[in-house]
Amino acid sequence: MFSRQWSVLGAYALGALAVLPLLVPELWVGLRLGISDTALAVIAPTEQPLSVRSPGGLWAIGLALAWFALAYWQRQFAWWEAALVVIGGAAALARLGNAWVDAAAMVVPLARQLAIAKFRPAVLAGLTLVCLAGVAATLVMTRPPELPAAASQAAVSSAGHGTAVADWRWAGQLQQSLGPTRRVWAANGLTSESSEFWLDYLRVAQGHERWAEILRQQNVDLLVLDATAQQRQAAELVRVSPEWRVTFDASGVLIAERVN
Amino acid sequence: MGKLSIRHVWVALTVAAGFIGPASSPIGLPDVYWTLLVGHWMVNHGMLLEFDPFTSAPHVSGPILNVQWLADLVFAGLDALGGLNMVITGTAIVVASTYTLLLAAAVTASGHLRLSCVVVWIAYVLGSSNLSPRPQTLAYPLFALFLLAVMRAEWRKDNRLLWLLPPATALWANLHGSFFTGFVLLGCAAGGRIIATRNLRAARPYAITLGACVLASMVNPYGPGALVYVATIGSNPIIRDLVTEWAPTTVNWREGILFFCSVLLIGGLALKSRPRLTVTEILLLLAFGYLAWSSVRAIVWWGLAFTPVVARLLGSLVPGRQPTGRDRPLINGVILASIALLAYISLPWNKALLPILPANKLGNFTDDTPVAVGDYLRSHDPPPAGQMLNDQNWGGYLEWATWPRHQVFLDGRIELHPPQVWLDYLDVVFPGARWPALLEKYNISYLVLSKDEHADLVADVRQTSGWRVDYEDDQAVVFSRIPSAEP
Repeated sequence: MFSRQWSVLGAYALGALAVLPLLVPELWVGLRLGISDTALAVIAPTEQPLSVRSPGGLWAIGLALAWFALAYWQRQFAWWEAALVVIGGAAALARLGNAWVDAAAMVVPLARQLAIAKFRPAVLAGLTLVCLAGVAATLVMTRPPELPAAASQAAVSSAGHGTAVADWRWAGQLQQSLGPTRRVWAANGLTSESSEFWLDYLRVAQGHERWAEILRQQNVDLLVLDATAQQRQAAELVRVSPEWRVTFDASGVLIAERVN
Repeated sequence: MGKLSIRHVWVALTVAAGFIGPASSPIGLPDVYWTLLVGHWMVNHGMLLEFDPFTSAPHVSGPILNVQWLADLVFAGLDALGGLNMVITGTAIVVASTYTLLLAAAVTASGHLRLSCVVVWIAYVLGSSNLSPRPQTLAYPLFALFLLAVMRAEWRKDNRLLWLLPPATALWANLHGSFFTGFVLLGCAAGGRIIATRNLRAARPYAITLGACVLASMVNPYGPGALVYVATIGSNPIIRDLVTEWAPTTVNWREGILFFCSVLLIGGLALKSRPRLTVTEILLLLAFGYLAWSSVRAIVWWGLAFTPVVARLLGSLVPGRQPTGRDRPLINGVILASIALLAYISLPWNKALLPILPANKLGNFTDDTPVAVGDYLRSHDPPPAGQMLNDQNWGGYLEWATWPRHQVFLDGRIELHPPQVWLDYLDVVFPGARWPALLEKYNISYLVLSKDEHADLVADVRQTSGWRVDYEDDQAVVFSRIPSAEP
């Protein structure tokens, strides 16, 4: 009896560990339930619908397949388990960032099947190692990049008083550094701005013909750009623009302030 | 002749569904246009196409590897026989043949005719957006033949059809690069036999056939080059990241929703039905499921591959019905004649008689085909110097309608041009800040743009001195450089 209780407990612990990689990416930016948005999907992987091209998508598919394989193999499942798997899967399919719903929905069905399967300790240990590796990899791969201290200092030293536009992953950190007297767009996350704002954000990031005009309209006088990836094209334009003076250009970060 | 039974009606309904849909639909994908051009070019020049005379954008170095040369000739032949109407009719016959073979495979696996018909209709719905005239469509009946051969070997212990597969592969490898899906199918069958029996020798018929098929795939003008082409095409960064058809399947697409519903269907059936999936079926579902999840264009193969499996599982849940002896041959004959009449009326020459067909399906072109601007270009010379820049989605139609008078910049043959050309094109139509410089870089002197797709660029060009509007309708606008402003 004692041993059976421990094996059920172990199965639930393994089930919880297995769904953790689905939770981690959203923990960095806050849990939210929604559907995929075209503009945001270009900016943030968690805003895309689930696909085989994202590691999170593959993990979610793998977990659903694992539940199905165990249920099919053992022929001991309840239809509420299947319903939970489908509901969680549907949420993740609509938006990868909903994978936390999938994680919550999958824990019990997966743990129940693991408990029924009564795997040998060596197999359970192997599965635990795989899940731990998945958690570690997700932690490393999805952690948002930090704004280097020197870049942050350069931004604080800027002379302007208008609005600042930063890579959305740095916006919150930059807002803290600049204090409440200056506004940083999207400082409160992806949901803090309108769809129109994000379309303009994309236009600027990708070097749209109207990029300078958009920044003028938004009264932006400080730019903090990721010069190596998402805002590479904008950074190239800013470097040669007479409207902007580059004050920091290192470690993949470009900071520029408007020339008065 | 035997009595006409209700079974004949079911078969006729299934085959007719595969025919009437493609026969009565306008051309939905632009691939057929360059297919026709290339086919006619090869007939006129008596040689394979080794360079691309149809687009003006810089090309990748080296000769073209046109693995679908035979499909180009087939479609050009149909075109010569009866124009686009015949191209559409030929495609409908190919699609109907595909679903007939698929029905045979499903009946072989399940033993249930009516259930098999229902599952074939599901497969038809899954693939319906991929049945337009183009080289890939010619490959479907060959895949269905592979499926039928494997099902007969699996469920009837009859390996005779396997002998047909190597010559079918030789044909397939000259029609379209999808011939590797036949290898995947045979590989699943061989792997399934080995795992199920734990005996390598049990897989011998499949392994020998697979080996012969791999060799047969090299019977083409490029030898093993066709295999290399197939292996590398998916790694082209532009195709992988920017072409809609190659994008991974998600719920953002109607096809994606249908795919996920089909996954639910088969999962539910597998959990509910008494007979177990065979190892071959599991491998087949995993392989083609992964392909379909990886790219929207592979959903059609998934639909074909999963049909016999679903039919068999469904057959175990539905009790078989004994013939009642109440068949009414006369009524069945009338129904069959009506189906034949409907199929005849659905032909492109007659489809205007179909009362249920919406007005936008009455012609051979879809609403988004730039017919009017094509007519304009066909009757007007290009500017004396410089090249056209066109909406890439229109490239196929425009080159078909206007070449050699006009040469489009790009069409849908992504692999013909270096990635940088595509990135520059996207930068122009975005429009990026560099668009005027990029037009000069590529010596562009006139623009053929979609007013919907390129609204920002159209607005910019209108406000830029040095360009004038030569033509405009609700759909398209043609700008040309004012001569003094040419680079």
